[in-house]
Amino acid sequence: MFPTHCLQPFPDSPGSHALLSQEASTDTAIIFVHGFGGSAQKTWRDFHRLIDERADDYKWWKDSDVFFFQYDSVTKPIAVTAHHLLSFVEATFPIPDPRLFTLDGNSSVAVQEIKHIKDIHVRPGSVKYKHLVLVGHSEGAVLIRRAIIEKIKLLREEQRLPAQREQSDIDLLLTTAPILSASVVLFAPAYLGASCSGWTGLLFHLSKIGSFLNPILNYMAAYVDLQKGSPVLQSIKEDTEYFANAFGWMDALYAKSVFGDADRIVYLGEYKHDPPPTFVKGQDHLSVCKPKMGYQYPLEIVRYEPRRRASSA
Amino acid sequence: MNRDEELQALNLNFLVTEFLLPEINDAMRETRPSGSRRRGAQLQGALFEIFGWMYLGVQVGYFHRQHATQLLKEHYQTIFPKKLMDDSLIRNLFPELEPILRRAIKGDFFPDMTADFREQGRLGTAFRTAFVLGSGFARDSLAQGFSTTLNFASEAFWVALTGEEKSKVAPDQILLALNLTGPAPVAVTAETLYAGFLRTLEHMDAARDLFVECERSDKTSLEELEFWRRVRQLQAWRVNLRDRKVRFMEVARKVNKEVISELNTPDLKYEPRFFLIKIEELVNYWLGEATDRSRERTATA
Repeated sequence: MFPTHCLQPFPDSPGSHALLSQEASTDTAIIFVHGFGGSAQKTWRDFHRLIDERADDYKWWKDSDVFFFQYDSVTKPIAVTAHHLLSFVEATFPIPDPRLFTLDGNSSVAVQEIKHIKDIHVRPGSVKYKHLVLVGHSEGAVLIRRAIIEKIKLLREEQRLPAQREQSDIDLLLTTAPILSASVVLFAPAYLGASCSGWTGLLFHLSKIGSFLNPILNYMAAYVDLQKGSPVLQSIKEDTEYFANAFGWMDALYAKSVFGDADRIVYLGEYKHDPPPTFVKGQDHLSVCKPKMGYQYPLEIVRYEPRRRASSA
Repeated sequence: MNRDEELQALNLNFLVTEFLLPEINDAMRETRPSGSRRRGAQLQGALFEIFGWMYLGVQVGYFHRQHATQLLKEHYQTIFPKKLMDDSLIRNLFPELEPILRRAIKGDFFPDMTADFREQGRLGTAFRTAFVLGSGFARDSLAQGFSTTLNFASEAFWVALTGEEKSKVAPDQILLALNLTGPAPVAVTAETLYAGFLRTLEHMDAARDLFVECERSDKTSLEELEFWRRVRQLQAWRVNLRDRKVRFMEVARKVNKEVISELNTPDLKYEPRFFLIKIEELVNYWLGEATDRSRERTATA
């Protein structure tokens, strides 16, 4: 018996990869975004295993395709990477690259290697998702919020944001900008700033010390962006809160945040309009996003869940 | 082709695109006269490791034996060159894999392999997880630069990079070196060496973490523990601690020393070997020394 999900490389995005469900009922795309100094392989390693091993307890994973976005977290400023993330999301949701799902003569190098393999599909039929979940860790959380802001600003620029809260206008907009309907789950989000990160964070957790690199961390663009009170973080916060006030129906502006109570790296907290964060006992900055046999909360909370509101108007 | 075979073909697609073809392309470049011997040996090691992944993948049913055989035949000359650069490479870096590598060189890729793993379906997710992590380690240029130097650099070259005569390496330069991401080879300097060491620690720690997680669970079978042991054997050559522990610990001691000098604050209480203690735990795991829990379970079985 094979796992429900099938591992595939993501075309044209080195290091990014996907776990694609064989279930024909799959209707959800879940996109994971790692943090500063992390990687698509290491940060989410436990999800790779447990989404199939614990599928009986968390059934929605069977109906979800899972994407792991890889980016250079050290050198690129947040705005640039967020722009790439937005492109990645829009290339995936609601209609993903068909090359991901098929091995045929045109789409796969493997076919050229193994000549008799052709026309194999991960699952039957064309793929179009109904739901999107964005999941970020640390800097990844900041990128998600920034990507959503960028999308809204683009729509505003094109004068496509509905002036009235008519449901038909909203539905139309969500069809053309489906990212705005995403559920957002953020682990140890760094949107209020980070006191140390990258391999300082690594050393910190390996060795229980954390500050010896701080004087030189200014060399790194992303780290500068992550400092408490940084203009980039401030602007993302103000924009998100402003848009949440103006367009409260955009689910993607609301995030469920999860912190470990032993996190010594990011400043804990949430935006004004967000639901209160969850604090998990005994988890730290790195472990909070890694489900284990004895800590399955990350598997439980990462799911599509439309925001409850009194009225859509 | 039935559905299981189709899925096995899809599984192989990831190995080909993310792992095998990039290494083969690198190997082709390095066979040119201008290619460096050190890097050539490292690439040969990487190709042997890929064969090891294919072997283990076929054993646990993740890859189809015939697909894998066909792929290996296609690239036989590159993966198993007639004149190995250094025959001791197999003996020294892959002692546990030596018998299967020797047979593979003769074209016998997958002899009878049904006996080792019976829980094939159960091990599919474990293999996938290990494999994704393994590909990340293999395609990390800094970690591989460190591995190449650790394994193959002459004593003179090593001392030039790490010896006491070497002027102090500034941590900001190491951090700048950590900016280098992706698979393109990086020039070996003291800074990239230290950066590669830290990246290597991350990979080693991530792999150990998965093993420990499995080991802690009462639901984990002995077969699964054996699986994770084999995964470690496949990648252990990259840090070759049997032969290169002295070099490895030299770098660790220097990092420890640097951090202590930074922490030279009388108010702060800490264990002076704090970093080394953690590194030694990692090294012990990667050397294959059984943990108390493993010993307990093996004894019970």
